[in-house]
Amino acid sequence: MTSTLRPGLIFLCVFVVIASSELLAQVDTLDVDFYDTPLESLDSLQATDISEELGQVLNQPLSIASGAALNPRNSPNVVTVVSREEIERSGARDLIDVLRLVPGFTFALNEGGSVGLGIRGNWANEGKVLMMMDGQELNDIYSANLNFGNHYPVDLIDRIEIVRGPGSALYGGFAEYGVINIITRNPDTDRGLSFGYNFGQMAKTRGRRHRVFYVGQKWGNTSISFSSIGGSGMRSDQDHYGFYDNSLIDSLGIGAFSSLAGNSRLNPRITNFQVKAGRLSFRSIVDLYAYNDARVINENQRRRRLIKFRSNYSEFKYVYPVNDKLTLIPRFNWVVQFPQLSGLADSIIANQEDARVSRFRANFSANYAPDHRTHLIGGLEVFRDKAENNDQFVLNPLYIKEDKVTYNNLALFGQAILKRPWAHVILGARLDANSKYGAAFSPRLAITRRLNKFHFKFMISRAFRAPSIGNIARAFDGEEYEINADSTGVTSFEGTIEAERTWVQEAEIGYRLNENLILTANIFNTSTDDPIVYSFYTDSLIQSTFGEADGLLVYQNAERSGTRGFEFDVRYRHKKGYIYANYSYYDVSDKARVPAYTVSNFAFNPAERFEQEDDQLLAFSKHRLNLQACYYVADDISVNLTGSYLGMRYGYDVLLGGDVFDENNNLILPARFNVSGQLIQEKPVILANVFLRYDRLWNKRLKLGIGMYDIFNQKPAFLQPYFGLNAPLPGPSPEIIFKATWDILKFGEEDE
Amino acid sequence: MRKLPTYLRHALLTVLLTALCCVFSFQQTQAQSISYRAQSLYLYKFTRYVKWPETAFQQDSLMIGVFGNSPIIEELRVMAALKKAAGNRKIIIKQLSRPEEARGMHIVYITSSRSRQLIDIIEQVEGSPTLVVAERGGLARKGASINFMVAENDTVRFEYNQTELEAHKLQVSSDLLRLGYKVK
Repeated sequence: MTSTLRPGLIFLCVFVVIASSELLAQVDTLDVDFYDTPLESLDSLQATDISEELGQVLNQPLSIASGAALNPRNSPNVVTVVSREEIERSGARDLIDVLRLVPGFTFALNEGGSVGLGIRGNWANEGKVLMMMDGQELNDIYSANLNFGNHYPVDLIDRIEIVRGPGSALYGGFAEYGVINIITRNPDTDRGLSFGYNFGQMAKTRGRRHRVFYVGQKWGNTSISFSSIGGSGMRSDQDHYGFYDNSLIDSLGIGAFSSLAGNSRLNPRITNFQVKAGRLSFRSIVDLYAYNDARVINENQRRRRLIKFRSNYSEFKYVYPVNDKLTLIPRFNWVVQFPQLSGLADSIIANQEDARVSRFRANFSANYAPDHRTHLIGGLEVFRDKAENNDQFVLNPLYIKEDKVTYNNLALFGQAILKRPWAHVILGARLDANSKYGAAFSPRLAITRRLNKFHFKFMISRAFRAPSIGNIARAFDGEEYEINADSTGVTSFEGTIEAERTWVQEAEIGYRLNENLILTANIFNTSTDDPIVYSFYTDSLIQSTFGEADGLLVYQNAERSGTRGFEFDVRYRHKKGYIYANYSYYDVSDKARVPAYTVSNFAFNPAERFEQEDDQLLAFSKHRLNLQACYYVADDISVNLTGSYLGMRYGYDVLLGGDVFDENNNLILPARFNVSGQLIQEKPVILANVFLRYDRLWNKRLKLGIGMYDIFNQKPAFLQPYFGLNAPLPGPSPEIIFKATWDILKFGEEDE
Repeated sequence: MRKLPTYLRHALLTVLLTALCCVFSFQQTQAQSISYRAQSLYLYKFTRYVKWPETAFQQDSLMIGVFGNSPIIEELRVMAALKKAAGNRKIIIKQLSRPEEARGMHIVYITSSRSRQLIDIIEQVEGSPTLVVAERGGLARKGASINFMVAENDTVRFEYNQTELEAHKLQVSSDLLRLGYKVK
């Protein structure tokens, strides 16, 4: 028995003991009125003695895990649903605050101030987690990354459905370790016009300021909605080590500490428009996001380099019900993204807007339900990725080796949900044929069973991800590169990169202890073959030519990676409030590990790095504990506490040395150039937050909230989960949050 | 002996753990999966919306037999004390210990723990006006008239076998059938 699974078994035993101690059958008190329930009301007769509050969590149909409406206990994945109520009452500042409460989800530093997501100890940001907003895939097409931090419109979210495991059989490429589907406010649930304003103040700078707008109306089968969020924010107000721009290094040194206050902008602007007329719908999302590259400073130690993303997502969708059993859904998506850089020293490439990446996708799916126990889904998907760069010598923001590259992908997918009396069996598969990487097969099998107060799930699935355009462009196998004559750097490098493939095995057990409380626990095992890894590369030739710290940031295939562990989740809901707690654990001690992800001593040359801890990876703590508690002081007043415990973490930080003299006391290396790195150990931290909310002010149209994030002043830093030469990005100081929402108009109230 | 690869060992262990969970769950099959109160309400509605041939009533009462030991008996007895079947007939609840005792019953309710004896019950009531109601899902396909099931939103529904209903000379209101799913 592996050490990882021993705690999982303990949880299992706890479940059994609890279950045994419960009285499994109870006779309810009856009254005459109960038997007078009219026939037409029987379709809402609850099968179990579950409370209305917990029922809202457990019985809400989800389609993210299977494409069909299954409740969370039957869904063929480990799932988490976050409701609008929970988001609003928590006072979440952005999506990071919401997702960090999900078991196994941890945020880490990607590069240059970008923050990404790790799932179950795996660095997932590089195309290994799919995030969608109203069905639109938000991953950056070039790099497959996601950028978190004051970005996505948390105040416009109706609910978030999260798969904490693979979803590739249905969703393809990016859904390797997880799927996040954000459903925003829409006319089906929200008809009216509202305006919101958020404000956050850190100790040394303004944390954020947002304006939020929503309008939506529905007339029969026709609806229209528009929402927008815009504003500004700051990643942090703490000091951070930045590296001088290359042109300044000779005169000023390697870098310096300077404040991120006013220097770590996170500016979002998103609009979301949808119109639906009968069976046809059109959606358009425009996402403008800009953040400061926190890594590079100018001569005034300010961070002026701004990385901008402009993304347009459009979708036409037609839902054609052939009959009551068969529905056909053709969809056409067009995504265009314009990565930009501004604030560079070189005016020629400042505000460069030539780069353009696009994806055109056509998807045709058929849903067939021959009876109430069978649901079949099948379809075909074709997409074309294209990247264009007018000036190939401008390596950033879009580095490709030709003026234009194009890759095509054809996929066939199918899934059968068989609801048998003894269990639900879900069989699915997806066959991808990529123009560069050939064919790949991603099957899945899941068996779920609900029995009395228990539910069980067993899932095994395979995922496949073709490298993104950026992965291919920056692929390097360590063999072919050219050094230019005047030794200013590596001018070109070549390499091939393979698609990565992942196997995930999961099992979940859940037990509803009483009408208000449910416990769930799961174990997982994730193994990725040929994982695509982004990290710093150097070797002795490069070091001897240019210097010890010179090298390349490239994509390479490692041999294998993966984690195993377990998660434990408790949910208590009552009419007076709710308490959620979860604990997650991962281990890698007997898993293959990617050298760039391991806790190793700091050395530029990978050949000189040696692993220091074999059971944990960089940036991600083995132990995570989250708590969310909400108490309704009155019907319209709530107090919410959220907290996260992060166990010990490892990362790399800069190591500043002093002046170096030779034996004759001659200065041979001034302190400003004597900068190296070191492995650091971050102590466990508790991030605790409080938020007070009043819902029905001023004719019940005004909602106000005030709270504080990080009340213990822990400032947990984002660590880089790979060897990438970025110093930890400090978290902000405690931030005072104020939120106001004014429902200016409510349409169709008389109908409700 | 050659050691299995780590991932394969873990996969096998996962399967084993899941199997253990399932074994444990099957041992609990006698416990309720659908509230007995909810089932008793449905059984009461069956007495109102199912039409038996007049010849089925030798006495002015409707007999419900419960095959197996189940807390639903207490629920049904309370129901019978409070309510009457269609035609103002008295409802009588009887616990059945042997399949032969199903003869003469208007409704036979087969508890989950006695599901394996469905065929014995069917043999006893073959051709007679008896509504065979199974607690366990899936039995309507195997010869019961009706079985209960839980829908995705955790509400009580039922599956019905139209062929069996007709074979037992029972007419069911379309309003009631609207709540169920036809399986045959």
